[in-house]
Amino acid sequence: MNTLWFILAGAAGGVIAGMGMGGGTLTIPLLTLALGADQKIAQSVNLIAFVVMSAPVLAIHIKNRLVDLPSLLKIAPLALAGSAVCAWFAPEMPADILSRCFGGFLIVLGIWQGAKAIKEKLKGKEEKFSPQIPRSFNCGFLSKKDFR
Amino acid sequence: MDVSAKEKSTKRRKEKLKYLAALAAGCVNGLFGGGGGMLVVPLLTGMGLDAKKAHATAVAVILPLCFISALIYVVKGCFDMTLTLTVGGGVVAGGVLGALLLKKADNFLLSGLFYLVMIGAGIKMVIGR
Repeated sequence: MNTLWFILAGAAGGVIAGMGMGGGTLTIPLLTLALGADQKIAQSVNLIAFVVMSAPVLAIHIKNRLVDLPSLLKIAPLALAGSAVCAWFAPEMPADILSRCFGGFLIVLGIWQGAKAIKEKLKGKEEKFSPQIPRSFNCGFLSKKDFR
Repeated sequence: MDVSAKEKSTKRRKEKLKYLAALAAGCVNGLFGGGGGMLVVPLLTGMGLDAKKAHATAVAVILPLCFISALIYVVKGCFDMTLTLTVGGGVVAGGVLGALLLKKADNFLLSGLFYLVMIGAGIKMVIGR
């Protein structure tokens, strides 16, 4: 029975991850808060699951030429160093403190991303009220000005 | 000349900020076992990539981070075979479903709900069980 819940928790996080919204931020609290898993084990599970899931995804992105190599090379080295150092310390930390820090991170992230989503929604509405003239109209002698 | 010097210094500061953000994203991902992508995507869009490319490149950044972090966690004994197999299987199946649903779902409602859950879970975790 428990097995089913663990699979479902993973699936819920996976759906969010597949949509490109950061599934780990859902999987980990689901595992710890709802299913009583240990914080560090939940983190380890999420890391491994992400590697397995995103390897084929990355292959597709590379094939579609969506990976920007200059930005990747700029960011990856420092990010890699930071994660290696912090991953070394995480298993040594008391699970209670780690869990509280993660909670704080979730609150900040939720407010930040939520505010961003609302802002984008409002912006989208404004655009709907003032439709743009399609570019095909702009064929040399007629400019957008002529339609105003 | 004074103006260009000023521009250069703000440009350099922005460059430094980018590296700092990359380091922070790595630290978060290693420490919390996830969430680094949520920081890398806005960093990449800030560097001028469009949303699609930013997401794809973020996966390329995060994948090696998760691999190294997972290796360190396992070596240090943070590993549970049963949980990894069950949750991992769910994540892979859900991931495929999510990628297929991406185009159909009303993203605003879904992401709004997601962020509310995130904040709620965060508050519960900070207070402690």
